[in-house]
Amino acid sequence: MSYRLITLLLLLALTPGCLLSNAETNQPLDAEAMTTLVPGQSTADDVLATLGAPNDVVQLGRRSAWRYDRSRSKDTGLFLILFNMRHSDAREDRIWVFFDEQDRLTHIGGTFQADDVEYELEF
Amino acid sequence: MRSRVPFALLLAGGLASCVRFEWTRYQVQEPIPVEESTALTPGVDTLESCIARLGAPLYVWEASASTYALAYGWDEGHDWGFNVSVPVGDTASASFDYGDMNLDLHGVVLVFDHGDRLVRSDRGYLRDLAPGLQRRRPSLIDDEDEEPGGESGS
Repeated sequence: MSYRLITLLLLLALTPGCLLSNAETNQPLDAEAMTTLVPGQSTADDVLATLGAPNDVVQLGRRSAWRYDRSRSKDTGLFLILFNMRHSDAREDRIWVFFDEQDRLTHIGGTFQADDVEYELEF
Repeated sequence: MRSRVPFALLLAGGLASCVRFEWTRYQVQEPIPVEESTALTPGVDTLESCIARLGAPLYVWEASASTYALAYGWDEGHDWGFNVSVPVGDTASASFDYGDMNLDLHGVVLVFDHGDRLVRSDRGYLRDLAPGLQRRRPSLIDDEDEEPGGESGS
């Protein structure tokens, strides 16, 4: 076996792996459906019919708040045996709805960032 | 000189199980700009204006019988690690679990009264802001008691 071939094989042995991972939790949230819910008018039943069952319910005194979420994460990695390089990006879409004690919607807020996650690998 | 290169590569391969350098970058949620959080004024801003400005929070919980809190959190940065059999540096992780409050996040905690008026706004690590505000069991409500805060939403 030639010197170059041995060197090449050893170099290849030192560059064994890379990683691309895309993870997602829960179904995408419907930002447009959220806009059909009107504080002061919509009820908990309306929210259930529009957004489905919440991921979490929080009691706030006599009132309550429901949480809907969906998360995504992308991981990028380069494994060179002696040197590993990784990048992780994790973000969420969230909707919180607040009800009064009669289960009437008082506030609603949404944040949509999950689709902004990126594969990236840099210093 | 020629014979040193394969030897060095073999040595590197042999060291792989006990020596490792790691470079990690991570991003968890989008940061809230300082000017956005400092623009909030206790006694003036409301739940509605805060949500309009900052979006939906990560956490909502009952902070006391007369207040509730919203927390926004994020983390971003990089980390060098050098491992010789056992890790020397901390390794970072972008994993996120809603169920347990992630106290390592940077964040903003907003406290409201039950009239939905902002009482307090703090910025820092959630582990510093949250000890007295961590999510807890809802307080018991006696129907004969007066309604908390005397008002029910805005």
